[in-house]
Amino acid sequence: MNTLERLEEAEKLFHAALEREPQELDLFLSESCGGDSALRKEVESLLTSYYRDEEFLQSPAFKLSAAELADRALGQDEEASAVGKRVGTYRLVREIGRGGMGAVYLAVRDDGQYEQQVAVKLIKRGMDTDSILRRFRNERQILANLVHPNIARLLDGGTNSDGLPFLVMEYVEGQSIDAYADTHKLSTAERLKMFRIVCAAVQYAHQNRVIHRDIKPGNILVDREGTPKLLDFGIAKLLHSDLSTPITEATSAALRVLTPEYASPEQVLGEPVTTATDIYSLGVVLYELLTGHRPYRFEKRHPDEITKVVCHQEPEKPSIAISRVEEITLEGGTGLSTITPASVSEARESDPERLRRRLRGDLDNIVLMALRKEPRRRYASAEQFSEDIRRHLNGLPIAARKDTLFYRGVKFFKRNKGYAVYTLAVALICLLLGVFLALFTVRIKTRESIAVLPFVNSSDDPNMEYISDGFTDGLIDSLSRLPRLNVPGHNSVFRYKGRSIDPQSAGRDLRVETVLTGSVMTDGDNILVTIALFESGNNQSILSKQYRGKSSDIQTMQAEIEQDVSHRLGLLLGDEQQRQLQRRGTSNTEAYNFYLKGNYSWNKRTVESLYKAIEYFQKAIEIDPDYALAYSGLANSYSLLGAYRVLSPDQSFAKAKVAAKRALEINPTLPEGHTSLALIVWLYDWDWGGADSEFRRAIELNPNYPLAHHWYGLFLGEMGRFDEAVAEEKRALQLDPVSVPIIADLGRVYFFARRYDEALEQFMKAYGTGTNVGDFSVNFSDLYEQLGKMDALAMPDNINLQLKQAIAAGSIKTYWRNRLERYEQKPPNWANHYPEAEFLARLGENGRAIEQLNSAYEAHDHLMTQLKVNPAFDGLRSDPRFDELLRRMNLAD
Amino acid sequence: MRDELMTVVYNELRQIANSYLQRERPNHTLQPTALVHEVYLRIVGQENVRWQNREHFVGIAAQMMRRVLVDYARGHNREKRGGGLYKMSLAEADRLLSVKEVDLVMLDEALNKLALKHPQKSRIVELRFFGGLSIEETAKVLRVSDSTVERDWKFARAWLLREVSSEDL
Repeated sequence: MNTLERLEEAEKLFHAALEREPQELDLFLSESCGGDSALRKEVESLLTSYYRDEEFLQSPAFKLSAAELADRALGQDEEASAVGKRVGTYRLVREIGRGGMGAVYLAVRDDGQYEQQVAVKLIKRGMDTDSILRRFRNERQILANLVHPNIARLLDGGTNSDGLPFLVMEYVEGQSIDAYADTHKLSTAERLKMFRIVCAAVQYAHQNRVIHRDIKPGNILVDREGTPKLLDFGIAKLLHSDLSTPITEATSAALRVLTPEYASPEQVLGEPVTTATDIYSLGVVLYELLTGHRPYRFEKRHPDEITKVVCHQEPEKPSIAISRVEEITLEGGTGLSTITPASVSEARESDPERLRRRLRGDLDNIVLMALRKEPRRRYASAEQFSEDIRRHLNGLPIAARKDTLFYRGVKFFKRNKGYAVYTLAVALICLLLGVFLALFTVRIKTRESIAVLPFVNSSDDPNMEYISDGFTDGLIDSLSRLPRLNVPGHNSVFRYKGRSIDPQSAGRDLRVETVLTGSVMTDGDNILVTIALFESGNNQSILSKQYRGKSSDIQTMQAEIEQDVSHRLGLLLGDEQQRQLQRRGTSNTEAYNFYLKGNYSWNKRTVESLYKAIEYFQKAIEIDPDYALAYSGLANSYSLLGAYRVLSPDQSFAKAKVAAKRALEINPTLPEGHTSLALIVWLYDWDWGGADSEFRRAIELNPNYPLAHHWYGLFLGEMGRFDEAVAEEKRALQLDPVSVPIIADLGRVYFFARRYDEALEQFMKAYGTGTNVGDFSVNFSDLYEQLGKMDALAMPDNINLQLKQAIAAGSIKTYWRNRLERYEQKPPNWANHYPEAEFLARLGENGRAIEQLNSAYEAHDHLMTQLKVNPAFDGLRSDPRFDELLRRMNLAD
Repeated sequence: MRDELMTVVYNELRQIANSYLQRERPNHTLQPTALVHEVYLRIVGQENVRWQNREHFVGIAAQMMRRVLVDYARGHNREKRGGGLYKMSLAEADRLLSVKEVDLVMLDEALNKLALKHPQKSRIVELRFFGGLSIEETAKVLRVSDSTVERDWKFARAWLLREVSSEDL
């Protein structure tokens, strides 16, 4: 027996052995193999393998089988290709499409007359041939007369040798309009312009009494020259009997070719189709062109769901839809892709925030007007639709308005009538649709934790570090505010600062799913921020992007990054959370811009800039009266004008209090609002317990809000709780490392604590930044008054030259006397008493000093809150009248 | 005709697979189920290709499913240089495939070896395991009787398992 024979024999024996009982095997093999041990070994090893794992390879590799694949690809009914055959005077060259009605072929004229290429739609067997032919005879003239540069013409029609109807149409080679727009990265304006051309074609057809009935991106092809052409005009009607009767075979057949995404409510319900149906479908096309998303998403494609969604659900505004993250298998196999705000805006040469602003308002209203459920309430014509877009493009007011609440109410009652009647028809239709649509998937994945690694300062200038750190902290702060997102704090991530660590290891250490890294490059006033978001599990970047701006745009850039990152993380906010966020902020871009400007001015902390800030915040509030943060900003602006003693307490803090309370009325959990109020309760109400709890509440609501720590620290300092005060200021500095006011106020706390060296160090540091913010030369002077001779020459000249010279000359008492006299010569003013009291106390005139303090108390000067700790009054502390004053202010121990 | 078709569709498929891996995606793991959907959509969109019949299509689809999956496994092996033989993790397999603990690359090699001696048996495994066809469907594609498929399937599984395990040792 040779090897081949042996193999064949082994196979035969293997099968025979499988028939035997195990106990018979030995005998069976001995008999059949005889002395051929090699053969026996072969059979035995096969049997061993066979019995070792009977499940081996039994479950298929894929969940979808090749047979299912084939059925879906080819349709249940087998149909031979007609390629090569003649139809009328045309020879079919190749198939270019296939649908429920039959196949479409590229064809050429076969009579040698000209080289014209056409598209031939060959209706398949089983369709209602007679009525198609009848309708074709009725309609062919109308359709043949439809001559428009943006409509593919119907050229001919008839029956082929098998008696099957066919239609001959102009052949258009191109991309569907949505694919074309994305490939060519058309901007929103360019998309709108192209869409208006489509509207004009539809208008032309409507004027010729032809309704398309199946407008969708796949039926609008754009050729190489960028000219859009509508295909299949009127074809839907030719192929289906009258669509006005709901439950008919024809209706379901008609809808079999529609996807529910493009079907109008009247089509889903089997109601009469009018030109308004085309307006609706145009609306869907525009929605998709502008946002990259379709207005509706179907989860299960159950008939009830489709009716409910198409007929009753209000579509999301386009400006909101762009923030969706969807993973979708695209029609036509262009790929399974994740649609993100970044990808959508990139295809439109924009960024998510710009695109959102672009769509907000006009375009939202225009698109939603076309998509209204009731045909009567849409644009009356394609021309009007197009006109509104033109007006928008030209910056003119548009006709489309938001739906009113009244209308929504009326609609609700209407739609619940006769609901059941339609359900059956819809059920039939949707069952058919379901087969085709089962493949489409929409998934949204969320991640719940993110660590922001310290952004790297890629500038040559190490002093720019504060910007990169600021980005890091700003993002930690804003991301930690997002619901359901766990963000390790500043301290946990800053230990990676300056160390090169790969995101995967950092992610593992910090136990987070995602890691955000970034770098900041500055060049003069220009800032370039690059971010990359990684999945810790695999070290793969899932988002990388660059942001450019000026140093004044840092907040906006931060907000953009935050937005992009949270979208990429697929964070879906619940209603309540969204409302919370909305109550914090504003949905109005203009108001937001004013707020940012207000904040910027406020941060400069000069008298002029504070007045400007008030103006900006007020403008923001005018536009959005529910803008809680703007009220908080307004409160702080007034408060600082009071704190700097530019305005009297009643002109400043009293106004600030109204604004702060309004902010908290709108949003009781706004940390900024509680911080604003805390300052007022402290400096104006002199309610120490109240101020303490407001500050604590603010910090509890957002432990990373620097201003809350900064002011709380100062407050604690004035209360004599120095250790806590220093800790709060240091925390504020951690959060906001280069804030000159915080640096200076840490010095002030040291000053109150009589830790003069440390105070001086802080003041010099603040001075070294070159920014003189607010009251801080006063801090310096106060310190030197106290220090007397000590190190007077180190004091910068421009802080208080007279004081410096006086100290140097040993004539400080004369200096104090002069200052006092100057105050005394001023017209009486609420603000004079406290400084006078300071000079009097330094000069040892205790009686007069206490008198002035009593007057300052009556004038409600907020500096009185420093009474307990101000070193200037140390000479008064043994005086019972001073104790009495402290008791009146509730500052006594 | 057939080879040409294979090349066209297969290249489409590779392109899809590549774009999957290059694109920013929340999950960089190739998802065969989704991929097969893509194959389907691509095939539907094929303009130059006519399928002789359904069986023709099914046969080619199974072949493509095998090649894509094996290439994927091979790519994975390369990535895990030095990591030994590729075994899909249980979680991965649960999520993506019904395969558990099958070394796809080894199986593919064994299948090629089997095809030298028994081409039909190799085809049966391709159709049954990669194509997910039933005995009856397989018989129809290969134009043989059900019982032939059944017998060959048993033998092929035993042969392949022996082949795969002997290399394993």
